[in-house]
Amino acid sequence: MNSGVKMENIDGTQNNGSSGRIIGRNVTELRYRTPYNEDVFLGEILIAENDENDRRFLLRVFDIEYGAEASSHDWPERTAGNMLVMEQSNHSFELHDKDRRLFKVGVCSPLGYIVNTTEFRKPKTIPPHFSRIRKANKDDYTVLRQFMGDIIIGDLRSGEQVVPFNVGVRGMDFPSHIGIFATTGMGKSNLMKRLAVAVMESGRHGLLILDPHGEYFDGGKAEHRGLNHHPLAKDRLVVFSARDLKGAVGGYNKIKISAQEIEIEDLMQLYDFSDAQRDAFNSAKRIYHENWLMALLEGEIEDLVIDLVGTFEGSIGVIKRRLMNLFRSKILTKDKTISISDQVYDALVNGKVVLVDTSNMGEAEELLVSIVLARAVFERNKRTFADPEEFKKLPEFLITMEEAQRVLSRIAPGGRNNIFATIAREGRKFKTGLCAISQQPKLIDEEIISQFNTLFILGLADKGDRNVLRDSAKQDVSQLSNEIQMLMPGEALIASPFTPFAIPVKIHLYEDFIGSLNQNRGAQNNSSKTEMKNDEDVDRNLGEKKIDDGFF
Amino acid sequence: MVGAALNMIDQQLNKQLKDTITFIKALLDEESDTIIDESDSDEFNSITFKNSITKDSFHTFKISNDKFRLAAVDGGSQRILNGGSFIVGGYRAGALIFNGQKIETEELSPAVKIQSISFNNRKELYSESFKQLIGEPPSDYPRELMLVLQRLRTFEEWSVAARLVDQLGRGDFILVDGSLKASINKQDILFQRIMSQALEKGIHFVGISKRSTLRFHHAPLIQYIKQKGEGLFGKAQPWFCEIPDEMGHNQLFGNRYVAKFHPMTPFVFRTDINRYDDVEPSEVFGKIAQYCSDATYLGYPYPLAYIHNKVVINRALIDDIAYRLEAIALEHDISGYNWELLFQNFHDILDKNI
Repeated sequence: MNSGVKMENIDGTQNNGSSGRIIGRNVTELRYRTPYNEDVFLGEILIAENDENDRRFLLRVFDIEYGAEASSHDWPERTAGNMLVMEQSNHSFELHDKDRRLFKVGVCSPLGYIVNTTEFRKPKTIPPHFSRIRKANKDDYTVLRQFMGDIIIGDLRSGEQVVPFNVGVRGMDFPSHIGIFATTGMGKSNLMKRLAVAVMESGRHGLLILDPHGEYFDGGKAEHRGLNHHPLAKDRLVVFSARDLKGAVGGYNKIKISAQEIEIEDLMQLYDFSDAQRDAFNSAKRIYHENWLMALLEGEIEDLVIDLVGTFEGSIGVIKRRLMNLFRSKILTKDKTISISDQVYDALVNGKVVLVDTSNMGEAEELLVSIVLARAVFERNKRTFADPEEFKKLPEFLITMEEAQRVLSRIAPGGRNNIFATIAREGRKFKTGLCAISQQPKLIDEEIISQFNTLFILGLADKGDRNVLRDSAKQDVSQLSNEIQMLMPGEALIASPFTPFAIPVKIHLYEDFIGSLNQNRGAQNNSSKTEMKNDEDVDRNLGEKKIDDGFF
Repeated sequence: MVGAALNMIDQQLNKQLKDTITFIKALLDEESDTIIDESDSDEFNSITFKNSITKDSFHTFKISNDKFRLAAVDGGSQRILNGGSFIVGGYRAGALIFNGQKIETEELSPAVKIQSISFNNRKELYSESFKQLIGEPPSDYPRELMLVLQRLRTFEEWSVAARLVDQLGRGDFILVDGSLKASINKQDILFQRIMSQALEKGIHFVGISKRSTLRFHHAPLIQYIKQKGEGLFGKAQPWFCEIPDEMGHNQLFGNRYVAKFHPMTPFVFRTDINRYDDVEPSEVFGKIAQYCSDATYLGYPYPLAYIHNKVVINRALIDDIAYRLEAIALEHDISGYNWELLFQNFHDILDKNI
């Protein structure tokens, strides 16, 4: 309890105690009065407390209203009318005693209450009448520590204030899937980069990033930073790319997919093939076995018509044209010894971040790479599941998919049976999570989106998109519509069943974060008596320290 | 049959409505050579005097920037319980002093006084309070219990006003809610004393009435004067109008005016200035007008509005006091049943079912 005692705010300033008093409402909505000159912001986290018991209620402001000491409801209209009249006639006027006559009403959702300092309970009761309201401080946030995971992505946000309290998700929850939803420019890529390096720093989970925009390796622009700039990139980042990459600290691999790695079902997820064309694929597989794809791609139509009995020339022509179009960038190889799937899987098993840069590919080709890899990872984990001992050793995997509505909508090729939809439905059991990134969540199949346990909700301009998230979030975010609408770039809400309420967060700006790492590295260099022989040593040293000592 | 009857009722109502408007129109058109300052008590008759309002009675004034202190006094009273043969009332009076648009001091005197008034104790109660304030016993006392309560509040207000005279100094103002006309027997003794003391200390004592009983024969005078003032000065000028002088009258302790304190306000107020004060009325109005530009109470002195809101006994307070009284009654073995029996009123039931 804090009966008028001065306390320290989270930012070190003095908390002068009460900034308001509860005035009523009910168990799902609390309203409080605060002086008119007291700043109140949407999303602000406050404490309601009293002298009658030791419960501290955590509240979140979800609306702000005007209040006035007037018994008639039209008082503001009349007063404003007088002001207008006086302005129009160039007369001065006052509004005396604003402190007494005017106030604000903060409308809050009770998030829960703290008892015995460390126990957090759902708000099944209400604070006593006229409980004091104050801003939350360090002590109040401490109780949330138990809900924060090892994958740190930002700091807690209270209204407009960023609280130096790390917010993260649990890597062990990756298989329960993650959704990242935001309008363009609201910080999806920044969040992904921050998430990726958190996984690198953790070293305990596998993350597969499919990057069709080429923005994660080096940031895409000169002023941006990418995963390659992180000190741990050399050891923890494995890069595949079909384009040339400069300055990759750990080198990179050219994307090459062996024809044997592609299954018929992969192609079905790219195009709508007719029944006759599907039959042709199946016939080819039956006749050419593992060489079916190259045979269709390189064989002469006349020969194929003979081999694939009952298949018309027209069907084969369509198949050949699509395949030729698909493999224009020559990522396909006949070399059976090459397997990108194996390399990717091995890296993931070793707790690394795998970046697959498909930015110079056509959309179908990029999707094919994504599908092949996602399926390969999922199938391998599924097979390992049969061996409990081996399965236990597997880390949790997360596969990211940009523009996820392309593959997770009802009308996506392959429909509900495409590999991404399958992972969304079944991946949890096999330690394979999907991280869907989209600016149009309303286009994603409702049943699929309901599988995403953790939602990162960033600024979304479209009401339809917000409504979809409201309905599918594992926290009740129905009262947060105003806040979601007002989210600034980099601000987010994390709704998941693993936290007691949707956590407001300010995602670390990736460039600042990398900058701070370099500063730390510089400081460490200056203070350390040990001579580092080269950058490699410095990086390794920093990486070890972060992992072992708990950097955050 | 029923339709015809309803039609007849409607016609009757229509006729009554038209008669009402005819009556009001006649009032508005009325001009009379006499003005009546209506008495609001049985203890005095109304004062009638010659209507000599002319164009020359109207003057404009400039809003002053001078610094001075301005005190405002008001009171509030309400019946809390009604036992038929007795009432339990609450009353209080308060004051505050503004200095340069800011509150300097604020006094409530006291928070709320609770008083049981019955047909048996009303005379004694009244006499005691009267004597305490005026120094001698009253020559009469009110018969109605509610009027006794209102008088107790009035005494409290004047008691506060008298204390303010002690606290303030030359050039300061005391504003009271209402006129400076004695409407209670022997109240003139008190007024005489306070006005003289105020004059002695150089304090301007002013009464401002939210509602006025000044009238022509039947017609309200204030509206008439407002119309005339706006006709003369337009709608964007502060002005005041001097009401004809009848200073020989022993009830009147103020020179009476009607004033428009802010250029843009639609409201004008009867304003009485201590009759012994020889300061130019335009100076008094200019200074009061300094406090009349609050956007909510445009044209009315903000300190009076403030103290009015502060001392008013509202529903919530009445309910709180009534609840506490009942709780104490239970502690003193008055059963809830008897308590309800004592104060039940079938009007409450009727009102709840409208």
